[in-house]
Parts: sequence; structure tokens; C-alpha cells
Amino acid sequence: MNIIQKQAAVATAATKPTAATGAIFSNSPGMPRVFKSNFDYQVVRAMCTGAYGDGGAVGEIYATARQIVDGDLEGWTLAWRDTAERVERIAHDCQSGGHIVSAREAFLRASTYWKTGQFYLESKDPRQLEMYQRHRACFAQAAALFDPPIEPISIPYENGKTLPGYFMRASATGSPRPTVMIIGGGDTTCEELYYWGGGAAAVRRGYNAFLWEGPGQVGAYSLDSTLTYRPDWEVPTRYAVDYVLSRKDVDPERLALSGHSFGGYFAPRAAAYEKRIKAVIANSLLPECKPILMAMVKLDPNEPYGKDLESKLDLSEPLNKLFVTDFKDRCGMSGQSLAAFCDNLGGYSLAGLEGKITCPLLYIISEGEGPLVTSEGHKFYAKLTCPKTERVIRFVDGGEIHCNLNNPSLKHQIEFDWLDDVFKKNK
Amino acid sequence: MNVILKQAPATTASAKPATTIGVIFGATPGMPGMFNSNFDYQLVRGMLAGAYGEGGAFGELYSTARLIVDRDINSWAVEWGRTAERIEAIAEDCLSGGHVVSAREAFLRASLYWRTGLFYLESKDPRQLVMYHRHRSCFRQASALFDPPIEPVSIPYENGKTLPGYFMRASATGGRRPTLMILGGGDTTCEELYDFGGGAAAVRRGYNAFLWEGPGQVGAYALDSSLTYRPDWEVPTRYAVDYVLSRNDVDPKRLALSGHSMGGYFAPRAVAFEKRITAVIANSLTPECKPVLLAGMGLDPNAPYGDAAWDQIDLSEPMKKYMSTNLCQRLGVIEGSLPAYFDELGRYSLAGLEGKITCPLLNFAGEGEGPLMNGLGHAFFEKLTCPKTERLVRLVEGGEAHCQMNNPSLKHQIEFDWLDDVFK
Repeated sequence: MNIIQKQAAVATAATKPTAATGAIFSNSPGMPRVFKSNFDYQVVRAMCTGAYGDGGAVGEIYATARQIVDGDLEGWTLAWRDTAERVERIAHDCQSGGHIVSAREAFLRASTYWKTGQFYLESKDPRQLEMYQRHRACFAQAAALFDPPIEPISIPYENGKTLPGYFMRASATGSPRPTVMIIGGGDTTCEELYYWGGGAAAVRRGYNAFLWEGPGQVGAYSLDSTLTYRPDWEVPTRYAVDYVLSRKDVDPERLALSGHSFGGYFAPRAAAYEKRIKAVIANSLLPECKPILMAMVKLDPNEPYGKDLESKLDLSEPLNKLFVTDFKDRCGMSGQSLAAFCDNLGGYSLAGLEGKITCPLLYIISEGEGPLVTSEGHKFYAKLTCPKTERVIRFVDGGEIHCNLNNPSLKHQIEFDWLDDVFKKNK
Repeated sequence: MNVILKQAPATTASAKPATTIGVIFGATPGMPGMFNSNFDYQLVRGMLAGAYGEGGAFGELYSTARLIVDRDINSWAVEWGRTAERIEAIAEDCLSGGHVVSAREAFLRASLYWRTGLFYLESKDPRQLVMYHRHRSCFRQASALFDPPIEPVSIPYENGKTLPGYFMRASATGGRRPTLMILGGGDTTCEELYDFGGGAAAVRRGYNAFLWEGPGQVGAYALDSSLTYRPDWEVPTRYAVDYVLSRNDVDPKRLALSGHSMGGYFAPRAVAFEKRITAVIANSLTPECKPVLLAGMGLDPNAPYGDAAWDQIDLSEPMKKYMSTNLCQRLGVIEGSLPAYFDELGRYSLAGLEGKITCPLLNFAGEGEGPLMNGLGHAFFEKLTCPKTERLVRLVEGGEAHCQMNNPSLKHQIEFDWLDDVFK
């Protein structure tokens, strides 16, 4: 198992892998390049959507994106809101006409457009919560139209609070199945894990999927703003595993956890302590969140910083603005300086846990995430003593971006084929 | 039933429809805008790869497209062939590892990339047939991995010949189901009708789908070059309907035919004579093929066409070259003579059949197809006396491209919801 999976052929000279490679997000050849800013990545994220079943709606996405001036957050919000409204209306019309599959698919698309539209809004903008609720409501309406239905779950959590999730059964028969618990990262809801997170892909392959959020993630925080991120992710994970293992249709010997983006810290951290998890996927591995997130917003992680880090941040890049507003709030650092925030991120570290992760681990890393993420992840991976697999997705694979959002087909093929093999001996 | 379906609101001022709406193919806002030529449309067509179930693989498409020089047909064929090879190898690996769903999905992607790559090649280029066979064999390997499997069908046709097709069962239980017979047009294979044609969408909705080709279509002609197009499409349709109705899982009262592109001529033509079909979709309605193809070649549809007009045809535009070579061959016309070509196309006309189409009809058009096509289709639609519905997908909806290739989700929602209502 301790292998590096077969790589695709290296890009030919003509592939021009000279694409600007930043930290986490870059302008690589597999991107649409409608925008120069992080808008481009969010467009790709929306493009996955209609493609879970009905071929996608790339024209809807291009037509919306072409109304938006790059970097204009207000224009971004309004254009996606218009599209979301239009497609949600289609969904309602389909439903009232009894066209169940069409309704379900339109609700799924509308749900994504609401999420896309609210992405860069600050927590204090009232539209953020409103659009989140539309996102959630559309998904819930779609969820009820699946067969078997996708079940909305409130995971019991500390102090009587709950965390949001959805359980997707592989089949209605109720026999115990392998199950993958899927989490996002620093900017995700559990609803969107249906798409690129692997929910739909799991069910097609006979796996149950549990889409869930821990504290600080977008939905959990929207529903209860006392729920901010915490480094000891094994705690929320324990509650989530308690719920999952309370179900008779889950095979406890074949329980996996997959984490995306910031979840590339959360999932390995949780697996180090939560031994009921039998396999873990990190996409990618984030052993130290502070330097990587600083580099992501173009701050030099090696440069000592004083109190005034704010002046070094280019707020015209929408992602940077999100980092110091909405994301900072969800880290529980609302009102604090950027320097204090960076110090806080220093608490999200896997250092010392190399030997504590004992279940098989798959590390998926994408060339477009840039050399810093790649080398930090690989260094940690090299120290792991568990059965482990590393898979680098290159430019030429066309799945080279953060979390392989531009190629979920390839992503899920790699993930589930690996899980199939890992779980063969747990049967 | 005689209605125009509710349209989306017209585009707002901020929608910047600063757009070239051409004939059939337009550089509209819902397109990738990566190429100036017809390459852009074929790219969108390829973007459906992986999109039926598994979220798509458009990074694969973008990164392949970025290796291609616009209008360079050789680089187009080579780069798609390379990607197809890579994905087919993934599929084979998955299959040998026992990962059936992953194998199926990779075979489907590889199949579409082979198809994308061979698109502009001339029939005389030996790579065309080789890539067609790879396209077909990848699809066949995928089709065996569905549950229930997609069944390859050879439709008995005239003189002991056969036409290619696939039957997709809505369920394995075998009750009689509504069934959609799906046709492409001037440049399609029956395999790709799984994607944009509506095959996968049908099965999800409890319909059987029959993906098929008549003579002259890409697969039929590749398998037997004596099978060239014919205007009397009711004849091949009769054979196809004979086959479909021989099955005990088809409800004969709920049998629809949908035609895409040039199939917007074939499907209405067939139902004017073939009364066993009980509903028809024309996407879009093409009552006269000649003016549309003249305009598609950049010629004035109202001007006389002598061979002198060759000078006015920009053969560096890949689609124009395609229309004057590959399509011409499949029409059974010797290449090189514009009068022979367009005279032949003149036979593909629905004039006089307005009153003979009696089943419910959906005319489904995209604003990006341009005013000539939209106008011809609508004028014919107006004269129809059958129960009828018209739906024009506008720029703002992002499904404005020919056959809504850039928004199959919307296309299939409209088609099947209409069929649901017709078949109630």
C-alpha cells in the first residue's frame, strides 16, 4: 500500500505548465480563465453542479459569469442571485407539474448558484445569511426527491448544540455498507459536498455518504455563530462518528473520512485520535495551516510580521477580502487584528501526529496548488508510518486545481478505487 | 397544447449580449469563448464528457483545448486523441481492478474524446475510421457495465443491411414504458446521443431510450459507406419503429421521436408518414436544409450558387470545410460541385407536409442559432395544424447554443416535462 500511484504522463512541452502557480489557487491550463481573480475558481466550482446526472449547464454558468466585472463583489452577488432565482423558479414549476426528476435537478442547480452568489459576502451583510438559507432550502427540497431520499441530519454536539449534515444511503435495503464521511474546508457547506465532495459518486458505487460540517464551517456557523473553528477536530468528529455508527446500515469496519482543503488538516487530525475511522483521505494534506494560508493571500510566511499586517494585504483580490472578513469571523477572531489571526492559525498544526495516524491514508495533491502546498504536504506524508498512498494530479490530467474541482470524475475515480482496495480486507 | 412555453425574461442591459449570432453556431455569452472558430462549439460538446453522473471533467477539456491551435484540424485530432488514449487507459485499469463504476465512467469519457477528435477529419483520412471505432468500442465497453446494460442493436434495414443503435431500458422489470427514439443530425453518432441526445436523461425519468442512426449519419456511413442520407426519412424510421415495437417493454401508445440539428428535418418528415409515432420533438425545426447550409457556408441563401461561389467560402473555418467535404460525402454527392451539393440539399424540404404532421410537436430552438434558422422554423411552426408547442431558449438562459449543447440540464427538463404532459 505504501506506494505512489501511477502518474499521468508528464506534460509535453506544448502544455505550457508555466501557468502562474500560486499557493492553493492558480491560473492553470485546466481553468476557464473567464476571470483573473479567484472568481475563476468559484466558476469552476459551480460548473460541477448540473453535471451530477443531467449533463451540466455550463452555458448557464458562462452566461452568468460574462455579466460580471472581475473583482466586483456586488456584481458577482447580483448576477448569481438572478440566475439562482430563475433556476429555482424552474424547479418549483417542475415540481408543481409533477416532473420530479426535472424539479430535483433544477433545485440542485439553484442551490449551487445561491451558494456561489453568497460566497464572497461578509457575515455582517444580511444577504449572506439569506442566500445561505436559499442554498440550504433548495438542497433540502432536492434531497426529498431522491429515491431513497437524502436525509437531513442534526448531529448532537456539545452543550445541546447541533451540527448540520445529510445522510445518503447507498440503497434502501438497509444492509450495512461501507460509508464515507465527507467534510469540506474553510469555505464550504455540507450541501455542496453532494457534488464535488463525493456524495453522489459514493452512492453510485454502493457506498453510503455522510455529508457533514464541524464548527466554523459555513453552514454550521450560519446556523449558530457561536460555532467557530477549533483545532481539536477529533471532538466534533467523535460526535459525527457516534451518529453514523448508531445506524444499522453502516458497516463499522468500512468507515472512511475524507477532508477537502482546510479539511486536509481536519481529517488527518481527527484520524490521529478517532480510531473508529478505518481510512482517511486528505485532499490535500495541510500539516501547517498558518504558512499555507498566509501564502494563499500573498503574505510571506517566512517574514516576521508586526502588528500592522493589514497594510500588506491586497484587498482587491476577492479571496483576500474573504480571508480577513468572513473566514476570520468563522475562526472566532472577529474584531482581532490580522496578526493575531495569523497567530491563531498557528494552532492548526499536525506536527507530532505523524506516528499517531494509523489507518490507511490517501493524500491527493494537485500541481496547481503550487510548490509550497505540494512540498509541505509531501514532507509530512514522508514521515507517516501508516499504510499510505500519494497521488499527484498534474496539469496534463486536467484535474490540477485545488480539490480537483475541474475534474470530479477523475477525483472520485481515484478516491473510491483506493477505498475499494483498502476495504477489501475489512470485509 | 397550442402554446408557446413560458420564456425566460429577456436579457438585462447588464447582460452585455455583445455577441456574434451566426447561422446555426454563434459566439454567444454561454460559450467558452476559447476559440473563434467552430472549435468552440465542439469543445462544449466534449464538455458533456463525464457529466452524466459524475460531475464532469472539464479541466480535462480545458487543458486539452489549450494545446490546440485554433482552426488547425490536425492539432485538434492529435490532442484529443492523446487525451482519449490516456482516459481509455484509466478505464482499462479500473476495469481490471474491479472498479466497475469508475471504469464505466472513464470509458464514457474516452468515447466522447475519440468522437471529439475525429470530428473534422475527412472520410478519406484513415484516422477518421480508426478513431470512430475507438469511440464506438469505448462506448460499448461502458454500455455493458450499466445495470441494466445498454443493449447494442443492429436494426434490420433494406437489402439485408443494418443501421446502428442502442436500447436503454428504463428498468429491468420489463413493464411497458414510454419510449423516446433519439436521432442526431448531420454530424452525430448514436453513441453520443446517450449524453446530449437525452438517453441518460430519459432513463432517469422512467423512459426507455432508443439511440439510433439512419443512413448517412456518421456511424451508419462509417460502418457501410453505401448508406448515404436520403430525404424520405420515413423509410429508415419505419425499420426503427418496427424494431422498437417488437419489444415487450415498450408502450406503443407512448412512442416519441426526437431529432437534433439536421434531425430537425428528419423527425418531422418521418412523423408526417409514420403514424405509429405519437409525439415528435424537432430541435430545431428545419423545414428547408438548403438555405440553412448555404448560410452556414457563408453564402447568401437567396443568391444563385455556381461553382464561382467557392471563392466566397472560407475553408479555413473548420465547420465550412467539414460541410463541404465530410458532410457532402455522406450526402452521396461527389465533392467539388456546389450546384450538385445544394441541389441535393434542396430535396430535404418539409414544404407541403404542414398538414400531414398530426401528432403533438415541440419546436425547440436556441437564440444562438440565429435569426435565419429561428425564422424558418417559426414560419413552418405557424402553419402546423397539429397540437404544438414552441420554446426558444434565449441568451440569458445559457442554453442558447444549437441543440442546447451548453445546457443539457435545461434541454432535458423542457423535453421530458413536455413529453410527460403529452403522454398523460
